[in-house]
Amino acid sequence: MLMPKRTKHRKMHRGRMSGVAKGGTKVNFGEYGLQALEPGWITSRQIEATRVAITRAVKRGGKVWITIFPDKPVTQKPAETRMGSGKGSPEFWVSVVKPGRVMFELAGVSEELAREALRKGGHKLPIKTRIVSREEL
Amino acid sequence: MSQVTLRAQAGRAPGSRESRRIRRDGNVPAVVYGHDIESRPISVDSHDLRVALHTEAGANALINLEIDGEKPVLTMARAIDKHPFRNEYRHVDFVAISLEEKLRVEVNIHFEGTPVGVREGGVFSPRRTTVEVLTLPTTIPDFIELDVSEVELNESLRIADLPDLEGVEYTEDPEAVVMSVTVPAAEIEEPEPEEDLLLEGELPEGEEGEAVEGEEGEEGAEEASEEEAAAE
Repeated sequence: MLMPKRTKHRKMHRGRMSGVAKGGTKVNFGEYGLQALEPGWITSRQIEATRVAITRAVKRGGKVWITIFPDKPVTQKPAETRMGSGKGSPEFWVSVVKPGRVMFELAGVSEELAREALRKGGHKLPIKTRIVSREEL
Repeated sequence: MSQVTLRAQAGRAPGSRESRRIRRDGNVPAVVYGHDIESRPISVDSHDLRVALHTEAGANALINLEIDGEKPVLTMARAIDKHPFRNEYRHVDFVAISLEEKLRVEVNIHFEGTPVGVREGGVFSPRRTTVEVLTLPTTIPDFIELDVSEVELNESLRIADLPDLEGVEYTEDPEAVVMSVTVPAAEIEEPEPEEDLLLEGELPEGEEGEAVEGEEGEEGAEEASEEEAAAE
């Protein structure tokens, strides 16, 4: 699964997810892309699940690019713990995605297969998505 | 190359508030500048703009801009700013051009045929889908067709392999790769069942845990010093 090799700080504030994506809104590498329509935290597991779904759907024929990276640590307190005594420990990594962000790209397969693969991949994500092509954007 | 006529209104006030009002009314704020004309803020109808930019020539369409019924100015759309996910134009630059001067423009590459390497199990990898050319406005090709049917596995086509077109000069490095047929990456990867295990497994502990301890100490020291300062 994707995660940073080393980080400057272990824990991070949650932050805000208002607004729209200010970069990465176009299909840059492949021919088709999966674009976010809602803001959300995409975990490294969800990214991996999406990648596997897309790769299996194209039967390893095409080329897949992942254009987001989970660089934000999320902490959790253990279950049944009293409140206080500091922030919890880092449990998983997320990528902060805002509407408009192209998260996955695909090339080297027919349009029909690409749309089907990205549709299947989109179901692994916790946000609304749509499939875009390079020409549309 | 055919030309499209687009009507525009001059005299829009500058500023984001005015631009938002223009967009609300179904128009797109724009600006026209370039060859022998002074920069002017204008606005165009969003539907008309969409029609003008969706011809065969795409973004390289030659647009005759009629500003408030004045003599048309020959322009090309540049810096087309679209909303990140809504299908809306937010702002467009129209650059006035001369039919006698050569321009640098990006032209789409259309790949024709199925490479031999793909039929043998390779993956078609387009490295780029546009190429920059230097040409007169009248000879800008709508697209450049590249026959890829002869490309074998582990072979690539470069800019030098693009077809020679009359009056069109490729300005980029002739050795730059346009497309290639590669061995599927999945064949090199580990088998699928292991991937499944990874998905369900726990987060691996890596070097990050080591790096973290030292930082924690530093952070702790900082926090302590802050608390002391607050107490004082």
